[in-house]
Amino acid sequence: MTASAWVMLGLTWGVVGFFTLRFFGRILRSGSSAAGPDGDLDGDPGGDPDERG
Amino acid sequence: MPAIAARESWATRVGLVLAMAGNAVGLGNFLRFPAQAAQNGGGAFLIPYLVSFVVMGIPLLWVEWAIGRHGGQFGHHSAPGMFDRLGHARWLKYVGVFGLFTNLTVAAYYTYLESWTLAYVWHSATATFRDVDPATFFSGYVGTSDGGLTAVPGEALFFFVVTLILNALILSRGLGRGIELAAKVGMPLLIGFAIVLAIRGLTVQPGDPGVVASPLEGLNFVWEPRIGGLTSPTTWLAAAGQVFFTLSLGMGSIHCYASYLDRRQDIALNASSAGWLNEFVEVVLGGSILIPIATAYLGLAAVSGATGGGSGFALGFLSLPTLFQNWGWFAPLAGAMWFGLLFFAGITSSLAMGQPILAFLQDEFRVSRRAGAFVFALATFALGFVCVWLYPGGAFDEFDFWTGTFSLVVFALAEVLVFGWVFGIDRGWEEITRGAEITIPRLFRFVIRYVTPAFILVVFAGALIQPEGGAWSAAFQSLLAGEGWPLAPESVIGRVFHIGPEGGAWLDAAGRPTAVLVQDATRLLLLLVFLAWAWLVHVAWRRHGRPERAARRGSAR
Repeated sequence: MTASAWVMLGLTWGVVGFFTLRFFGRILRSGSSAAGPDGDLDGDPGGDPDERG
Repeated sequence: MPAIAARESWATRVGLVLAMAGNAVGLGNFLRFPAQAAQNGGGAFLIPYLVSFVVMGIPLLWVEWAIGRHGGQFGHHSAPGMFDRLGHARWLKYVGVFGLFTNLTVAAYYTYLESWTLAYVWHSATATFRDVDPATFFSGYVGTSDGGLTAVPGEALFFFVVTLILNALILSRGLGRGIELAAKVGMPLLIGFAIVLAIRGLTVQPGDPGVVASPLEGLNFVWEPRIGGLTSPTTWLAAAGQVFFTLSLGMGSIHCYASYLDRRQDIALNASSAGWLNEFVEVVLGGSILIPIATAYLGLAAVSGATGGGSGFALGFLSLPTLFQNWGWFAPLAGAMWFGLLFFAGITSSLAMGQPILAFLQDEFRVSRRAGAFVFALATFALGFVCVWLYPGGAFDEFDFWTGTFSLVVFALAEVLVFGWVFGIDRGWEEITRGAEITIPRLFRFVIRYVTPAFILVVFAGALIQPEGGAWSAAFQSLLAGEGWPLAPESVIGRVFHIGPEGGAWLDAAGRPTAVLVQDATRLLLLLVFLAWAWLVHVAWRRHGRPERAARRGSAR
C-alpha cells in the first residue's frame, strides 16, 4: 500500500466512522424500546385528527 | 377515503433505522462500489463520492423521509397518495406512480438476483464449487449455455420461487414482526459476516496456498488516489450515480417506511443514521472484501480486467467461490458467509420494495395484508419470470437499466422539484425539521431547492448523452469540429436507438429473432406496467377521491 492510499483510506474511514458512530450511536443510546422521542408504540395514528384525510 | 384506523407503526427506533439502512444496503455495496472506486480514480473517487453524498444523498434522504411522514398523516403509505397531498394539482398523484412502478419492476429482477445468492449459499455449504467451475455452473444455472435467447432453468426457478415465498411470508407478518425483525436479524449478521471475511481476506500472506499477491495490493487498487480522475466528468458522474443507487433513492420505499412515523417524530437524525450506516457498510466493509481477496489469488491485472465495466459481479459470483477453496475447512463456511451476507443485503432491500405495493393495495383498495403480500409475490413472479425466461436475450439487463437506473433518477428529480417548488421550501423545511434531534444547517434549504435538483439534472444529462468511452473533452472537440456527438451505446439515447455494431434489427439474416427484439419487447412490457399502475391510481382516486375536493365540489353545486 502506498502512503497516499493509506491517507485516503484513513481519512475516508475516519469521516464515515465518525458520523456513523455519532448518529447511529445516538439512536442506540436513545433506547431500543421506542420508535421515536415520544415513545409512540401504541399504534396511534398520530397527527392532529382534523389534519388527517 | 383511505383507511387509517388500523395504522401500523415501527416497534422500535433501532428497528426503523436498521430497516431503512437494510433497504439501502444491497448487493451493490459489496459488488459495485469497490469496482466503481477502483476504476474511477481509486481514492480520488471518494472525494466526488462524499461531495455527492452531502449535496445530493443526504438532502434527498431528508426530502423522501419528509414526504413519507407527511403522507402518512393522511393515511397514505405509498407514493401516489403522498404526492397528491403535496399540492392541489391532480397530476401530482401520477408523479407517485413511479414509486409503485419502480418498486414492482425492480423487485422482479432483484428478487431473481437475490435468489441466486440463496442458491449459492446452498452450493457453497455443500461444497459444489470444490469440483465445479463457478463460471460453468453459472451459465448452466441461468441457462446461457446453449447461446439461445430464452431459457427455463429449473433450479433457478425453484430458488426464485423460494425467495419470493420468503419475502411474501415476512411481508405478511407486518411491519414490526416481519420487516423490522428481518432487519434486526439480517443487518447484524451481514455486518458480522463481512467483518469475518474482511479480516480473513486481508490477513492471507504471500506463500499461503494459491496466493499470488498481497491482498494489500488489492486494497491499494481501491484506495490509491489517481488525482487525474478528479477532473474527469466520468468520475463525478460515476460517484454521483453510486451514491444515488446505494441509498435506494428515487424508489418510493424510503417514503413508505417513513410514512409509519408519527408527525412529531424525528427525521433528521434517523435519516442521517440510516444513510451513514449504509456508507459504513459500503466504504469500510464493501471496499475490504471482494477486491483484496480476488487480487491475492488472481493478481492485480486479472482483477483490473474483471472490474473494467465498473461491476464486481463477475468476481463475486464467478471467481470468489473458487478462490475460497484455498481456505481448506473454512471454504464452505466462507462461501456461505459471502453469499449469505449478499442474501441478507438483498432481502432487506426487496422487502422495502414490497411494502409500498402492499401499502397501496391496503390504503387505496382495502386489501388485507396477507392478500397484498400474495398479490405482490404473484406480480413479482409474473414479471420476474420474463427476466428468467428471457435472461439470455437481455431482458434482465433491460429491467435493470430502465427501472433500476433510469426511472430512479427521473423520480428523484421530480420529487425534489415538487418538494422544493410545489409543496414549497418553507413548508418543506418545517416538515424536515419538525421533531429534529440534530440541527440541520439552514444552508440545506438552498441546497434542497437549487443544488440537489441541479446535481440530479447534471447526472441525468450525463447519462443521456454519455460519449463513447467516457471521453467528454474528445466528444466536445468532435462536436465543435462539426463531426457530431459520439454517443456511447450504453448512454440512454444510445440504448433507445440501439447504437452499436449490432444495429437495431429485430430479425437476423436467417429470419430468427435477435436480442434487440427481446430488448424492445421488454421495454414495451415495462411501459405497459407503468400505464397499468397509472390506471390503478386513476381508479383508486375515482373511487374515493380526496375529501376536501369532494367538499369543494359539493359547495360549488
